[in-house]
Amino acid sequence: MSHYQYWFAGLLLLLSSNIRAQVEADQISLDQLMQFMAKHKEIHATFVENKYIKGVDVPLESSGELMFMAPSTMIRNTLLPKPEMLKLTGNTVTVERMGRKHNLQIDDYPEISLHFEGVRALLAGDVERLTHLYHVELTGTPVDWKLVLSPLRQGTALKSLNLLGSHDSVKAVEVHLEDGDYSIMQVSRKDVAE
Amino acid sequence: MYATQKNQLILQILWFLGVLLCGWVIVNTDYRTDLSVFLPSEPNKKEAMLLGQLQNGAANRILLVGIEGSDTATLAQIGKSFAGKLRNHSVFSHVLNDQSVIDPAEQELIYTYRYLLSPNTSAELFTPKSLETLIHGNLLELSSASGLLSKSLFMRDPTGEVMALVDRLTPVQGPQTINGQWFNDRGDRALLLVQLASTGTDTKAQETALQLMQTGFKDVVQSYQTQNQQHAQKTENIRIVISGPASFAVSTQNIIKEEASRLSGIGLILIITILLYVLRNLKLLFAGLLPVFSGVFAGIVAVSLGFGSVHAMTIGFGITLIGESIDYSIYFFLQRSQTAENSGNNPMFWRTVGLGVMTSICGFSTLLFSGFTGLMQLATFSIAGLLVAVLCTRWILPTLLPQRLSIHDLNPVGAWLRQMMKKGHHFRYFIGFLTLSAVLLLVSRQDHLWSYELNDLSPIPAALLDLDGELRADMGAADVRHMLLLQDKTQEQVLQRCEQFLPRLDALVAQGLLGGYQAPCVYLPSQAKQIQRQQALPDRERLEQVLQEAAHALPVSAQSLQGFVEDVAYSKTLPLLRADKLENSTFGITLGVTLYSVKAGEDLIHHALIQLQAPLQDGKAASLNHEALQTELFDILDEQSVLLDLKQDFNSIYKTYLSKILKYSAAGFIAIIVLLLAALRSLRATLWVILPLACAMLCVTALLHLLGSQLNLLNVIGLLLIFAVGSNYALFFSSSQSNMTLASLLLATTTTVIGYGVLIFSQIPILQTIGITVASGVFLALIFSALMAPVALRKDSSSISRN
Repeated sequence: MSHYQYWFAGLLLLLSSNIRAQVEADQISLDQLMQFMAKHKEIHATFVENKYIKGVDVPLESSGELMFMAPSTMIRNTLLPKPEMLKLTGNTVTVERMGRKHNLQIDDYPEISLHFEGVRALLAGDVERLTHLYHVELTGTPVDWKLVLSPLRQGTALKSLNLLGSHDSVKAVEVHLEDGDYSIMQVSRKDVAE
Repeated sequence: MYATQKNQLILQILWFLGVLLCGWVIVNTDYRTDLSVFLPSEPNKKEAMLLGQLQNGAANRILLVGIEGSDTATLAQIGKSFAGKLRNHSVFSHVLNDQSVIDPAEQELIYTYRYLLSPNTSAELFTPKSLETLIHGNLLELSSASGLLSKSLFMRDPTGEVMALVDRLTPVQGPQTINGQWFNDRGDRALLLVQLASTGTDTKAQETALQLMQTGFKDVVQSYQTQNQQHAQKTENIRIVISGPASFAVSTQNIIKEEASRLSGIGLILIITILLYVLRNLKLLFAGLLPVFSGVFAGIVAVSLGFGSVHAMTIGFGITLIGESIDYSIYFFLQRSQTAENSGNNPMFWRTVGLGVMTSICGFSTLLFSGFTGLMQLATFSIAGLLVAVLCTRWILPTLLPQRLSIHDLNPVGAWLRQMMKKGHHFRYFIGFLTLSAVLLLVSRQDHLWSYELNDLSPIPAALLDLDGELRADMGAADVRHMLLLQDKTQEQVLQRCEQFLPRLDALVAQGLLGGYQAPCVYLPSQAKQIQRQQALPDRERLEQVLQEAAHALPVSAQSLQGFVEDVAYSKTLPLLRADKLENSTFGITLGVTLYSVKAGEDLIHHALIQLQAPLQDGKAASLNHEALQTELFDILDEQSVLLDLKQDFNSIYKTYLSKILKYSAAGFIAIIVLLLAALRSLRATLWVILPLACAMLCVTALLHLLGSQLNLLNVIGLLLIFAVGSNYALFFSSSQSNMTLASLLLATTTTVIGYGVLIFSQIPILQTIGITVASGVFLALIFSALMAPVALRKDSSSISRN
C-alpha cells in the first residue's frame, strides 16, 4: 500500500468509526476504545495538573507539554513551576532536572511504573498490557468515556488511575492514592499526526 | 696428592652444603610480582605521599570489565546476568553495572544521617525566615511528575536535604545506560565496575577472583546460548576484557612465568647447542652450567636476605645478566685444553677472569645506587651471582675435571676469524663514518632523545595499558590527573584538613576553574564537624515554635510537618556516622579510594585524596589550570596538603632518578676505564679497547632513535652493560691473542647476544628495551673491536704464541 492509500484507509476508518459511534451512542467497549487508540502514531498535547495533598492547603499546579510516539515513547515536559523532563522509552525512564540526567529501568520500580504504564498502554492500544497490570473498568459512551484502572498488584500506594476521554483523545488523567491524596491532569491536544 | 684430594672433597662438600642452604632459603622466600619495586625506594615527602596513593589497597581492588563482540541488546542482557552472577560470590564486595540510581542502602544512609552530612546544617537554617523560604521552594518540587510519590519525604524533609545530598554524593559523569546496563559511548561494549573483597597485595586471591569471573562469564554466555539458536549465533564472538591493578598483577605474573620458561628455554637450548658443539661432552656441559646455576642460587638468596622478598622480574632478568658467567666456564675449558705450558692453575688466566668480574661489578653497582628497588634487587642478584659463579669456576670446577680436556679444536675458527679481521680491516673507515653519522644524528636530535615517562619502567605490557586507558575513558574516569593529597596523624585530623578545602573548592567550582571534585569528607564528615552540626540542630520545643512561625506564610500546616520535627530531634542524639557504616554501600568504594592509611615505619599515616575534575567546555572536559589552582589555594597548602599533577609529578620523580642514574653510570664508566688502565698498563692499549666500544654504543643509541624509541633509564643501563661486557672481552683478548682465545671470544659473544637477544621477543617493555640495547650493542662491539683492532693483533697467531 502506498503512503497515500494508507492515509486514505485511515481516514475512512476514522469516518466510519465516528459514524458508528454516533449511531450507537449508548455504550463503548474496550475493543472499540483500543481500536481508536491503535491509530496513534504521534500525539502532541499540553497539560495542566493539580495535586491535592493532605497537609498542603492549596492545590499544587504544574503545566507543560506531553508527547506520545508509537509504539512506546512518552514524554512529559514540565515547564512550570520548575522545568523537568521525563521520558519513557521502552523500559527506560530518563529524568532530566536541575541540569542532571538520571536513567532508570521501570522493571526495577514496579510501584512507580504503575502510575504511567496505564496511560502508555492505552495510547498504544495495548490491551494485553493493560489487563496484565490492572483491573480495567470502562464506562460511558465513545464521546465521553471513563477508564478506571486499579492495580492488580497488592499493597501499592496507588488506588486507581482514571482516564477520561472522547473518541481517541484522552482529556484527563486522575491519579488516586490509597491515602486519599490525588491529582488531576487536564490534557488538550495540539495536533494529530497519523 | 692425598692432601689435595682431601681438600677437594672438603671443597665439594662445602659447596654442596652451601647449595642446600641456598635451596632452603629459596624455598622459604617470599616472591612478589607487584609493581611497587619499580618505584623509588627512598622517596622524599611528596614522593612518599604519591607512592602511598599508588599502593592504596582499596584502589588496587577495583577492576574495570568490558563485554564486547555482539549487538547492544545482547550485551546488555549478558552484562546484567553476569553482574547478577558475580554478586552471588563473596569474593566481590561490589559489582556495579548501572549506578544512575542510588540503591536502598545508600538511600537509607543519606536519609538517616542527612543533618550530619549536609553542609546546610547550621543554626541559621532553623530560623522562621529561612525555613519559610526553603519549604516554599520545596513545595515546587512536590508539583513535579513524581510529586505524589515524594510527598511523604517532603513532610519529613521539607527543606530538601535528602535530594540535595543525593545530587552531591552521586557522580555527575558516568557511562551511559542502555537497558539498565552501562555502555561505552558507541554502545558496543558493556561496562562493569567490580571491587574485590581481598586486599590489593593478595595475588593468589586476585587470581582466584579473576578465574571466577572468566568461568562465570562462560556460564552466563552458555546458558544464554542454550536458550535458542539465534542467541547462539549472536554470542559467537562475545568476549570479556578485564583491567585494573589486580588484573595487571596477575597477567604480568603469568606473562613473566610463561616468558621465563619460554624465552629462557629457547635461550638455554641455543646456548647448550653451541656449547655441546664446542665441548662435545655432556659431562663438560653440566660442569659448564654449574657456575651459572650456583650463581642464580646465590643471587636469589642474596636478594631474599637483603630485601626480604624477591621480585619475579629480578630472577627472570637476573639470569640473563649473569649469563656471562658461562663465559668463565668457556674460558676455563679452553684454557685447560691448550698446550701443556699453559695448563694448570695459570695465575695470569685467573687474574684476567678476576678483572672481568670486577668490570662487570662496576657496571652493576650503578644499579645498586639507582634508588629503584627493582633495579637494586637486580644489581644485588647479579653481583652475588657473578661472585659465586667465578668462585665456583675457580675452586669447584677444577676439582671436578681432569687436568687435560679434549674438546673441539677451535683453532680453525680462530684462524678464519683472523682472516676475516684482516679482510674487513678496510671497513674501519666505514665504522668511523657510521659513528660520525650517529653522533651528528644524536646531536641534531638531542631535544627528542630522552623520554621522561615513568611508564617506561612499567613491567606491564603496553597492550594491557592501552586496554586500561580505553576502559577508563569508557567509564568516564579518564582524567584523575589532578588531585589534592592531604595527610595527617589520624583519620579525624585528615578529614578536618579535608573540610578546610571544601568551601574554597566550591568557590572555585562557582568561578569555573574547577568542574567538580570528589572528597572523602563529603561522604564522611569529621566527628568534630558532625558534632558541630548536631549542636546546631534545635531541640524539639524550639523547632516546633519556629515552625509555627514559618507556617503562617505557608500553605502547609506545622502539624503535618510533625515527622520533620521528630527526625531533627532524632538526629540530635544520633550516634555519629563512622567509616564502617559506609562500607556496605557503594559510597564505601569511593571512600576506600579517597581515604586510606599508609604504613610509615611503625606508625600509620592517614591520607585523604580530593580528586579534582576539569571544568566542562562545550560538553567536554577542558584542561585544568594547575598554576591558577596553586595560586588560589596557596594559603591553605602546606607540606601535608599538596596539590598534585600526577603525570607531571611522577615524571619529575623519574627525571630526578634519571639524572641520578646518569651520574652513577658516568662513575661506572670511569671505574671500568680505570680498571682497564690498571690491567693493560698502557694508555694506548686502553684507548684501542674503548674506542670500538664507544663507537658501538653511539651507533646503538642512534639505531634505537631511528627505530622510534626514546631513550630512557633502561637504555642507559643497557649501554653501561655493553661497556662492561665488551671491555670484559677486551681484557681476555689482551691477555692472549691466540686463535683459541679469538674463537672463545666469538663463542662468548654469541652466548651473550643469544641471552639478551631472546629478551627482544618479551612482551614486558623493560625487558625488551634491555634486550634490544645490549644484544645489538654487544654484537656491534665485537665486530667493531675486531675490525678496528691494531695491526699487531691481526698478525698470524703462530708468530704471537711463539713470542
